[in-house]
Amino acid sequence: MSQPTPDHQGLQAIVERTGDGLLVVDGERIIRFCNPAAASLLSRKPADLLGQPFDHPIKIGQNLEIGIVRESGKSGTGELRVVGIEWHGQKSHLISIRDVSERILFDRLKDDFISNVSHELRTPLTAMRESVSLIRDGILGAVTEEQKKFLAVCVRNADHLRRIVDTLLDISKIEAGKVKLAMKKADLAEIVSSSCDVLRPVAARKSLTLEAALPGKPMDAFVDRDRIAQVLNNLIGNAIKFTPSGGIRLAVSGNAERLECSVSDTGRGIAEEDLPSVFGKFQQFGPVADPENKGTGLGLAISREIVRMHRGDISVKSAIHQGSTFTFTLPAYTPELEVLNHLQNRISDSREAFVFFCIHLHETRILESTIGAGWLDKVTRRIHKILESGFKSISSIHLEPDRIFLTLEMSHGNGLRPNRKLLRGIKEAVFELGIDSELDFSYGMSDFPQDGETPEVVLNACLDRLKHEKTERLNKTIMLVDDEKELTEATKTLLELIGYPNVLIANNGPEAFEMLGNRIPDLMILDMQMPYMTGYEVIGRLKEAHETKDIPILIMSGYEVETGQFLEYINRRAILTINKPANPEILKKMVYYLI
Amino acid sequence: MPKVLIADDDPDILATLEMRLKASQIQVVTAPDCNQAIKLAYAEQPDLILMDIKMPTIGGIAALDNMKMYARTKNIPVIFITAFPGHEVREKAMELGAADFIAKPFDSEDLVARIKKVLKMDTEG
Repeated sequence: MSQPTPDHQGLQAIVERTGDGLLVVDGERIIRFCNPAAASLLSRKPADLLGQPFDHPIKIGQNLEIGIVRESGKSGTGELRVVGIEWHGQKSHLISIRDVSERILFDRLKDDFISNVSHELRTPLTAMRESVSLIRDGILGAVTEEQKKFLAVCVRNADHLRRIVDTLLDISKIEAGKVKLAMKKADLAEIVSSSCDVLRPVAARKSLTLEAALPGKPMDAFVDRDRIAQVLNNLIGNAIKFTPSGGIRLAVSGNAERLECSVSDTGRGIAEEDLPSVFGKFQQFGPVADPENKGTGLGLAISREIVRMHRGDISVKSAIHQGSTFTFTLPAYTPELEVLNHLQNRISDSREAFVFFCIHLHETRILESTIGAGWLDKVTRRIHKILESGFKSISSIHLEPDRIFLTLEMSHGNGLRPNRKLLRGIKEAVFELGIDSELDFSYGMSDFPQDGETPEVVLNACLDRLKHEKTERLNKTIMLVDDEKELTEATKTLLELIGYPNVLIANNGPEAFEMLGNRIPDLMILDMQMPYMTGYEVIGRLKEAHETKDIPILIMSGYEVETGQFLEYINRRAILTINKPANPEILKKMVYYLI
Repeated sequence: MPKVLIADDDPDILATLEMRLKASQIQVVTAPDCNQAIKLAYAEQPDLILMDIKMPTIGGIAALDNMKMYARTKNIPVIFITAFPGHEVREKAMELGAADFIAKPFDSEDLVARIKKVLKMDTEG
């Protein structure tokens, strides 16, 4: 049935009477329209909103939670959604605000409920179990064997109940996204081997064999070791439980992208119709295999959650009386996984904007020989220390052989542009550590959420920039301002040798300003004593104009700058000076630092 | 005979634990809340304290912190028993100098073994 188009009055009524707040905000963030619900949720009169700037972030596709005033007058949480629309011929945003206080409250109640219930269950369970075990152990008087048997049943079931409570709490935490994995590079074959060692005695009690076919080389994965061991314990434990005779065989294999681990048994198998629900909660099929060790019916559900959290998958192949094979896959270790995990943690810890930075150090042999073992760690710590004061938060990881990744949150506002302070801080750290060596690095950066919402997109944006950074940097323009032609030519040649082919020469101040009309260089190397206009005058004029005030300046002067002094200049963040003629090493560092 | 102070607000837990420890040749004093526990620790000088974490009045963690301030009680080993076996609580307790950390419900043999270990009692005895 097709829907009749509502007339203007109808549409107006919908907008006026809906409980969701609706606002139209133009390209300048000015509110052009608001319905009564929006005004009420924002606790303002419509007249006070219209024509005013909208003071929450506006981003299409990004849902944001904001504080609102509920109908009851109490404060609550609103969900803000933004879509692009055209409003009176102008590109604008339609913002809807929905009161989601109830949902948030329910989510919290559910989490609290599970955590409280499991606590409240544990204490009475302890008292029950203890009382019965006191009797069972004969501490309160003689007990017959028959009595003992049933008291043991009671204790065993108390233990069983505890396992259910523990697992249920665990699984709810995982589902609520409250479990953080302690991810590390680890050898899957080794984890499998040690899980087998732990459970072999259990298998032996049932006269079952437990073997693992492991490749002769490490199978590196990026995992939370304890959690993967938990999955293996569940799978092997199940296999032992449901296999009356024969054995259990584990196998690990893999390639550069994926690792695979399988647990096969010669047990009673799973009926075809039960296979789809094997990984569901409280799924148990057939008679209890082992009354001494009842399952919780949650083991496979939790195993699947854990494997999925690791970006892997789990599946089963089985047929009645033909045994079962459970197989899970995990991504093979790559440095990218480690970085993605770092980013993911940062994003889930706080949705605040941050800059993601990658430094790729070249010539690491030199760093290794000057700083020694653990140099990458030392360089990272140094960078941390230098940047610490300028940012609200900073965290990093470094990867062998030569990469450092940083996430940095600015203290104020959204000055999230390639930031001079950040770059200089990093350069400072690297210089300070390897001042006498041929240090070189490339960097890439991206912004969250500007460049992407997911760790993958943020990382790729950053690496993409990293790839072109050095070429772009070396293509930057340097303007030499000096009246001594021979020296200028020599410096130009030097700069070209260092790798900067775009060098402009101005023979004096007025000529320089003429050239500045056409092109703003990325660095100016300036002589102080020149006819027509001294270097000081040039600087003065540069600083006056908006377009030229930020050009970094390197002064060529007559006096020597030693390596040690160089750092001092950097620390003062002043205009740098260099002796004349320039020492190629020092010039290279200075230019590198300033561009 | 070693003396153990058990502090828990659940009288059933107190009663069963008391019985269990007495059967293991351990003398027992009990406290139903933190204030009593701190008082008894000071007065009775037990060889070990077995303490619940979620307990009136100030909670087991704060009680331990308090005991660490006094020379008479600061060296008494404390084993926590808790129904909240979370990592954070455990780390906090260990940081404050707890001797051990046991989750409820516990296995009594395991509990007695751990107590004996802290008391350096012969596990056969």
